[in-house]
Amino acid sequence: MTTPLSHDEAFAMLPELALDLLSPDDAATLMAFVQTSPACQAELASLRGAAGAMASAVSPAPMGDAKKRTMRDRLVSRAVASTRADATGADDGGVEPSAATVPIAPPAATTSPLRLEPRDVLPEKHEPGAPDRRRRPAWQVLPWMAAAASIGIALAQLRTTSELTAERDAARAALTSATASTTQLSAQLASRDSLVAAMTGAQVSVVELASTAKLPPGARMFWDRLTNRWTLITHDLQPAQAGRTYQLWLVTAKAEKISAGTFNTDAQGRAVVQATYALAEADLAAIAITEEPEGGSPQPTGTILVAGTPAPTR
Amino acid sequence: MPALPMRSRLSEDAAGDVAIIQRMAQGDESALGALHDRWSDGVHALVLRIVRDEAEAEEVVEAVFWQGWQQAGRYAGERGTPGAWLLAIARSRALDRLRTIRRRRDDVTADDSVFANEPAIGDPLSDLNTSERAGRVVAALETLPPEQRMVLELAYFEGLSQTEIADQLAQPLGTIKTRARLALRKLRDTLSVLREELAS
Repeated sequence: MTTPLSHDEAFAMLPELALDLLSPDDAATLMAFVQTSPACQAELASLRGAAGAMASAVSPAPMGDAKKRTMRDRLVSRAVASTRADATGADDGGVEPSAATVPIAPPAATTSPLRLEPRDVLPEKHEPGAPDRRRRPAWQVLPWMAAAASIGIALAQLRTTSELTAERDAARAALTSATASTTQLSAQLASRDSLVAAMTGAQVSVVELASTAKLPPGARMFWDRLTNRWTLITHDLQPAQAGRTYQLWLVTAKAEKISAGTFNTDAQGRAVVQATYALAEADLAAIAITEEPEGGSPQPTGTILVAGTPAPTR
Repeated sequence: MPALPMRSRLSEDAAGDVAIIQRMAQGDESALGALHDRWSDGVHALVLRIVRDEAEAEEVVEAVFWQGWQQAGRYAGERGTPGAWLLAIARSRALDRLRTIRRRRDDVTADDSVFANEPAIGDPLSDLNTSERAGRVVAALETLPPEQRMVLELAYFEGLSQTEIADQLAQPLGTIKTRARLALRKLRDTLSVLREELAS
């Protein structure tokens, strides 16, 4: 944008700004104009709100309980450390949080104000015949013996505490690992249960998709009309070429092609695709898979690879 | 700390979130845990949708909450609900990470100024709870023609520029601009209608 913007031009471009579609230079120019126009500011705010609302349309993807708990504990610990650092004038530095940068308490100090240096305990040489300067009255030696005994006990306790702490930490790590494994297995089981339910529900229709060419690929769609859940399972569908993707289409009785998502297959040609879309039973005319440019297409552009029509309802 | 301004109409969830942000701004570390409890799943879902990698997503989610903790004092209620604020941070961080992954570079340039010097985010559904919002936004998106919805999704979730979208969809740049303008304004209007229907 080299020429000054008119109000109408700027107003028209606000959706592009709200969606971060503009180049940094163009965005800066437009933002400068927006700062001068209350109408543009209000419009941009409402458009940003609409764009931001798209975050709500994302399918739920909860983290596992164990991961969530671990992350939560790490964050709170880090916040506590940060608060303390602020109080003492230290600077957290705004380092990216990650498992590697979570503040870890330094190892317990192993020095003690009562620690004896070697020179304090080495025996002095005693010359034969010389007066024994080391010999001291018992009342002078006893306190030193008592102090030495206390230090010995303290050091032993320190070592024992350190060992116990290490054992406790190891046990905690093992428990966390076991909990994570259990959670992962539970999630896998729940996912499979969900998949089975999506294919075996009382209201599930099955649509067979067959290849349009003399090729082996095929697919089967399970449509749970009760939950509007669509589950597609492909077989022998070779992975899409680089820069391409497969796209699933629901074709309505009015010949509308509704994208139900993009996917790719594994080396064995298998894929499981799930989508949720409300469609009246009578409105579904066909289901098809095409190969499209990576990211998908608003309407099918590639050849139909497999397609099928729903069986008449009994 | 001065009291954070409240929006005139907020759901119970959003009002609770405002209270949490206020506690965070006052240095209450437990409030960060509370915010995480309420929003980690939502933030994770958005981030995972963008970066499409669980390990990457978890790192980004943690970074989002840490940024929330650091910037709680700068949150201003009139600019949007805490949820909108947090999700805006999440999208920004996730797109940063996505671009980093694409460029296979290690240096992440974090945008830590989601609201700085920018007009407010007018949350059109601030009076709805999370689950209610999701249904209405999905319904509103479904009213859009697929080609317009595609442009919105490529912009919002992929962070593509309009030139990149034009290349990807093999459409003229002008067509993409038109679709983006029509789509977002229609989405905004549809959400407004849904909100008015809810209020009446």
